[in-house]
Amino acid sequence: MSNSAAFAILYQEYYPRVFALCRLLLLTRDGAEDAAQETFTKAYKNFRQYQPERPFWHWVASIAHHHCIDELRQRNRWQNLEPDVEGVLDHLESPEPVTLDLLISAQDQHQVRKAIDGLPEKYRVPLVLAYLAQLSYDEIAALLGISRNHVGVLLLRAKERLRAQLRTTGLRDPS
Amino acid sequence: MNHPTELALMLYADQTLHNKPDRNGPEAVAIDQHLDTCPACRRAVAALSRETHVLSQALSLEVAATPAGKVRFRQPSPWREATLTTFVAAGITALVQWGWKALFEEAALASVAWAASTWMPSVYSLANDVFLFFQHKGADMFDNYLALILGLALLVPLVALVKARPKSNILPTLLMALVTGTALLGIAPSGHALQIITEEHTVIIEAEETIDDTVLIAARDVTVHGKVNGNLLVAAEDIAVTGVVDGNLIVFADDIEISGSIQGMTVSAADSLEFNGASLGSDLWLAGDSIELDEQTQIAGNLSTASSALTLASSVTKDVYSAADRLVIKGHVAGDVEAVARHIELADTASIGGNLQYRSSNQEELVVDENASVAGDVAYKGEPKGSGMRHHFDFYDFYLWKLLWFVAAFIVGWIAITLIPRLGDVQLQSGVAGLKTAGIGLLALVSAPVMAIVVGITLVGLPLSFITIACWLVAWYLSQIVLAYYIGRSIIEKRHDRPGLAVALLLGLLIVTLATSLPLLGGVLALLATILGLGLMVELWLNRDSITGTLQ
Repeated sequence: MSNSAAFAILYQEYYPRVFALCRLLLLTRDGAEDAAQETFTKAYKNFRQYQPERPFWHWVASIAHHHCIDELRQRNRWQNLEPDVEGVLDHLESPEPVTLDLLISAQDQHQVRKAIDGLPEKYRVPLVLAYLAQLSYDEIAALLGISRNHVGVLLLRAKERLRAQLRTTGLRDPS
Repeated sequence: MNHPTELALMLYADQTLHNKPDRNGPEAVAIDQHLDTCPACRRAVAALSRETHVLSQALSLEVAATPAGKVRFRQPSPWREATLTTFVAAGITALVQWGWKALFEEAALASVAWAASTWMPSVYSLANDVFLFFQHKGADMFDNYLALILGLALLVPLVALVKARPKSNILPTLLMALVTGTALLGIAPSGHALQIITEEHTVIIEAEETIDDTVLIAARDVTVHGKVNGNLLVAAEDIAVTGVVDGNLIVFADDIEISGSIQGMTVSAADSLEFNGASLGSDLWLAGDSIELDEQTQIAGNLSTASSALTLASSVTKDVYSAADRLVIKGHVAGDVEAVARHIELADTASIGGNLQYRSSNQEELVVDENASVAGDVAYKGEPKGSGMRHHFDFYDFYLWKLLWFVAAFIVGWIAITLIPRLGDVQLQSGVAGLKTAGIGLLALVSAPVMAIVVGITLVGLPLSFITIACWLVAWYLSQIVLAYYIGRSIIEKRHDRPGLAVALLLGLLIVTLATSLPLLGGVLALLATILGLGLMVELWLNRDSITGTLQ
């Protein structure tokens, strides 16, 4: 099988995941389509450098999220991650009641997606990178140029916001 | 009981503390021990794990919602490569065409005309023809071709604009196109400070006339009685300057007579050069058959000459460097005199404030009048160097320099590739792609200094111009090293999977050094290696984003 044919199969299989990753990072459908296309174009051009022992998803997702974060930075929309983080580490003391899994289970996909889309970029991006791209905290930290603990704080904040958002939605729409 | 923070529990639940080097770290161990005794935290960790799982699932549903069947992979658009190839091809064509017309066509015709003539004109007539051609047609042609190149450069942002049309980042692209266009179109024309005078026969600048620009004159006879508040460049058969030139004087002619005042440097080439009562404010560079400087002429700088005969009766404030068949010194030289001549004479009025060093066929070729004086030493340095043409292979310093280049290139290459490993990943394609690489390299080699000069013309662009030139020089130096490493790596890769950096670099540099040292072919191969290396580096830079993801 030629490289092109192999790539076409990989494209069919991985496009939805790459598109979803890009859409969650960039929020716009047009932007996500362009980003996904650009990701696969880069992957196609450098397909010879792909090492088969590494999962294709890891490789292509790496290209995709780098591209999307560059895109966000170019749009000058990348927010300073530092201010909200200061002091948070000292004030996190005991575990809070965790209800996010229950809240998500209680909502339909549309509501959950809306809640994730509604997160500020600085919370949404690490959330997507951690739970869709399956990057480790250290990988996210390196990518965003922050410390691992800051990644953790941003994820905690993201979850707090999601909880609050889903609670509000749940109260408004108990079904 | 002190519970771990939610952050610590989340790191624990998300397996972040289970990886090296945290696996056995104090935080992981402390949480492990705490969980053994704290049911609340165990529940919290379990809930956090569920939360992670549910979040991953929720995000995965997003994937499932994407209509996979509707999308097909679009091959990378050929637009970019086509545009780049067209740009390179057009640029190379323009440069070759311009080079051919400017340098060869007219020069060849002039040479044929010169060879076919029944009389033997001086070499300055040919120089005049070439100069006049450049002045008359070359400048216009250069302008036209420059406009073409700039026009092509404008195509790049325009194509980018077309490509970006449906995208959300159209605004920066539009701004980029506007800024590029404005910058290119807004370059101040350099002709404002240059006045060009061309006449078939005679140009006279009268005594009462003052020109406040740099003046370029081409005619048969040129006489300057007036004042030029700028540089004066003249090409003619006969030139006389009796007026004042505030800047530099650059003149080429059959016969030149200068009796005026020149504030700047004087560069002259002619059959016959005469300075009568001239006042020369800076250095003097002269070449000609016969050069005479009378006793009223004052030279405030150094005097450098190459001529058949030089008669120096003037006073020279600094040093004299002369290569002449016959050198006669009658005046006063405050500094040293260094001469290479068949015959040297110090007349009775001659005085030299410094040393006199000379080369000649024998020591007796120096004749010093009893009234002449030399304050310093008189030293005979032997026969003139280079009297017999020898190949550079005959000189040991050629091998020394090659060795030095080799060692320096190895050190620089090793450091560069270690610091920037991607430099070692360059790949030279075969066929058209390889030609494209060479084309890009040639374009970079030629266009970078041109663009730097163009940018430098605008005052605000001067720092950018220096930066461009600096980058260009570094890239030029690295080009052969990068190609050498590629060659070495390619050869060793056929035998071993992972060639070592040092071995590949050494082998490649050895091949490149030997190839570029070959007689006749060496120069061509060096140029080829340079443009290929440059092309590879430019391609690497152009594609830098494409492989970012693969390096993480």
